[in-house]
Amino acid sequence: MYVYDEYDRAMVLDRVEEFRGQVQRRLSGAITEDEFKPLRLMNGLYLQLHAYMLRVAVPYGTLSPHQLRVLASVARDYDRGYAHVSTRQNFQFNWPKLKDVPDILARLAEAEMHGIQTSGNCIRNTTTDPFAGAAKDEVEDPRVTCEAIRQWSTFHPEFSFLPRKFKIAVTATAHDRAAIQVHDIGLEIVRNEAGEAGYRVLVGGGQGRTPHIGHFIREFLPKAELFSYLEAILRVYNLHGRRDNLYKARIKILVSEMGVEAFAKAVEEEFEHFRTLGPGGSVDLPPTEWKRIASHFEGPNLSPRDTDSAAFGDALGQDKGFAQWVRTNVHPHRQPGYVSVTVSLKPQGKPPGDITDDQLEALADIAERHGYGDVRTTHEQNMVLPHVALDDLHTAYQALSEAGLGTANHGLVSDIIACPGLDYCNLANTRSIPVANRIQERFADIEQQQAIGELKVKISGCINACGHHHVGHIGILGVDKKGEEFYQLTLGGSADENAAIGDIVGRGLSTEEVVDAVERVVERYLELRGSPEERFIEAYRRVGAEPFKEALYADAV
Amino acid sequence: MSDARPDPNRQPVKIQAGGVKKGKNQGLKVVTANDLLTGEVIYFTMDRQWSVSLDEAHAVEGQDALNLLTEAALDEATAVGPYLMDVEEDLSPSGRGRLRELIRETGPTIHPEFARAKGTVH
Repeated sequence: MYVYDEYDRAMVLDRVEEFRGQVQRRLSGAITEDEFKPLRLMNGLYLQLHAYMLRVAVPYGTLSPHQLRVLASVARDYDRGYAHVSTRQNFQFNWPKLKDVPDILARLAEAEMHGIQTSGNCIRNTTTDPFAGAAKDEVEDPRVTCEAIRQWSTFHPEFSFLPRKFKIAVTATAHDRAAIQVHDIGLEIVRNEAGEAGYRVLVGGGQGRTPHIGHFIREFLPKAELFSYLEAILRVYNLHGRRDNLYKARIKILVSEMGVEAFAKAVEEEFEHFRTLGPGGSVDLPPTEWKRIASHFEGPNLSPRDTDSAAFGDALGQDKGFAQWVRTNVHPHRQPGYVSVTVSLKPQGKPPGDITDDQLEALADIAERHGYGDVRTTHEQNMVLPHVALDDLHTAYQALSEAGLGTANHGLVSDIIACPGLDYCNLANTRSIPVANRIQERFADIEQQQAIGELKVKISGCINACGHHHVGHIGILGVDKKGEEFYQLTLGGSADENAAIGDIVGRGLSTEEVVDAVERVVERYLELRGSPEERFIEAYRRVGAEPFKEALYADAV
Repeated sequence: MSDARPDPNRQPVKIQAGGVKKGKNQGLKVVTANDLLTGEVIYFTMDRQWSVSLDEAHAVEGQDALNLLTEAALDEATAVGPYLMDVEEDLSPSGRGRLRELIRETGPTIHPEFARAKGTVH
């Protein structure tokens, strides 16, 4: 993984001391809350319902065991014994005290972590495929591009005060696990006919109160010209994006109002301007710099192994729980004899995405023993061990299970994305996590879940859509009706390469009704699917919303 | 000469109830905020101090509520983001932000171990 150079280290440490001074001045009364608020937000420190919340950047979701242990120590020493994985692959702490935050940031900085650009109208953490560097079918490791974007965008003066926050995601496989089509910019790494790697570029995707699937405006961008093109997009957005209306300030609105062709033309014109500057004047990285960054992502040296592991085969036959887990949580690896593993943070009855200090340390140990020291967070609020030898898989599973991290539900109905909702969030109208827990309870039987198959349920506690409900196969949006919690169902959303915004299927449901409604949707799917292999989303696309509406509102008067 | 002063009971006031930022200044209100040091939920009391207990909050209405909020907002050394919240006569949260204020008062419903003084929200 990327290792800080002297500039990175100096910048992050300086930033900690700068923030320490800002906190001291706020506490002494030298600056007001209005003056302090933007400063704390620039360091990832929010104020939520019950306490401050510190968001820690995890660039493209990659962590070392040492970093996991540092996060565990922060959870234990300064918080309430747990941390939370966000849908931007970051970590959040829900209970830090203001006076402790400079010390927390100092501890994080020693482990090459910080909260910079986890808030505010800047370029946020670039997200990617959690199986990056391990996925069987990827063109190249997308984290090299993500890291180059991180270096380009961090403290970039031109992009520190954009009209709104700005999110970029990168995938390097045809099957999109990074949800690029609902990002401000989505990059798909592809090869051209000459076999050269480059980018298919999408703009204008996003969720929130006006969800949009983005538009591809470039089918192939040479890798060498990435930053000229990104800078051109950002410059057009910075010049023309609306600053008069918070709700119309994202690039998706600009692209929609200008029209895709006009927007793309404006980008191309700006891009040409950069091109005329030539190699000495453009913002593009020289090949040596690409190579230097790529050298940090060469990955572990995985010695060839037999794909026919006797230890694995024996365990499959003898351990039913292991066999269930392998069915859902284990994924193909580019190197024969190895797999990638999803570590579910969705055990029944726990807030989706929460992980305790003990679990963080256990995962660090397991990653060192069986995972070549590489750990990832996912935008679906789980974690990943990208490299595990088949021979070690059962031992790793047993260790994960012992730590409460062996739930066999990745991609199933209980693997729910849920925003913090009204239990923590200042913006929420309704609770999300209790609804997720009740759905998990209703579908507690793991065999039943596996029989249902892949089903992505996503819950947001308000229209800001932090729980990604728009792209859930079943999306649940909490709405306030005269002070009472109601839930609006959407169906048919998807965040992969066939991205779609879910269809609203009817009136809002009371908190008592919503779990029964989800169950009725699932039952109707089981009745009408062509075969057990036909996934929920495929069945929905085949038959449309009507049969599900009938199931949902059959009893309505 | 007519009295042209606006009716304080009809003035919009700063209120935080989910996405609702403003509400009508009608009925009993208390001032609530978050503690600067800890972020903990606090309430403004009759003797112009802050308490973590809603039971100790000072409930007023109309112009008195606006005045109380003005006084509370001056204390930046203790409180962050003061606003008026609706309460019943027994000081329990009421109005559109009732559930939000119940959760603020008692702690997240998903972590009973972090409950504040009162019981859990149902």
